[in-house]
Amino acid sequence: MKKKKVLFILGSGGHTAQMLELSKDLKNKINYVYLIQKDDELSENKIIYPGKVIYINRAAVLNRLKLYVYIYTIINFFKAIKIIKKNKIDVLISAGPGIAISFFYAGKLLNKKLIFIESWSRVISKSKSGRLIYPITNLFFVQWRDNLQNYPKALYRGRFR
Amino acid sequence: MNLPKNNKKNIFVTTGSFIEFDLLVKIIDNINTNKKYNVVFQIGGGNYTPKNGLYFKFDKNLNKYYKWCDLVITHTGAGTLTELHKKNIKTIAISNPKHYKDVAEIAQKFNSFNYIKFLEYNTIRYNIKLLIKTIEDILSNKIKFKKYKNKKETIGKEILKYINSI
Repeated sequence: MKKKKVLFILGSGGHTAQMLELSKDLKNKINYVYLIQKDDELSENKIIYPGKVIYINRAAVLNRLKLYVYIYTIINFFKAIKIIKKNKIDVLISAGPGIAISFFYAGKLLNKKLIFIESWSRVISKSKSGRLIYPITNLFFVQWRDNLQNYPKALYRGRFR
Repeated sequence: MNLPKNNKKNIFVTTGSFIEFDLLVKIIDNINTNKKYNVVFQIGGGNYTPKNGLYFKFDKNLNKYYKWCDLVITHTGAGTLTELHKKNIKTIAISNPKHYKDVAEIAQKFNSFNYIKFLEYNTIRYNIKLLIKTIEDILSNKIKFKKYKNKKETIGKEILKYINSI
């Protein structure tokens, strides 16, 4: 069977740590394409299983006006369509940075499979990305049992810690 | 940087790589005016430079500081706290009132599991004795933490099962 091409959406710090923890389980059973935010210089060096790395500007920057955040989110949505098509992505996986929102909606439009893992930092609340992405996912994980009440169709299968 | 080695206890204070948490640096620096402890600070994106300890802004690898210290005092970042717990390093997490992303849920949960000690900045700000006592109790082993146990992850297995079924 041909290996599936998976877009691994990293974020800074905690988001990246969880995704890389996941890659230890997925090993080389998939083909990796990594998406990293441009101001995040640390994530690329932490990658365990090699794959193409794509950099993108983040939409939400501290103190940036809301309007601009929306504009950048839309720009990123169109970039996402291009990236997903060009790299022939089959599945998108993310543990939550804001950039995931544009990519997951682009993925939905292109009929790709979407897997989202709510960050372990959310014990009994929703992240902004989680809330927006939840309705369109094929597979949605929470990392604390308590959080199933916020996401009834989510799965709890332990956590990355 | 040469890390001090003597009969004093070693404390490593880290605000994270980029985050500004001068309030934390200041409060620990003020506790240590009598140089009771060897303190090394990672001040990240902060501007306040501590007077009663060594400091740096950024280091790719913090392991040497983790190995050196008897206690870490840090922000409530999920990644940092998990790493520290996995390494069985004694930790106090303090909430950063200025940082919009700083979700303290994980710190509260870890505190309730007795993995780390969590204190609100706004509490210790008016009750510095509580912080000093917590530091002392941890260093003298009066407060003991639960050791890390590796649990088999199954999120990965579930995802593989799904991907193979597409």
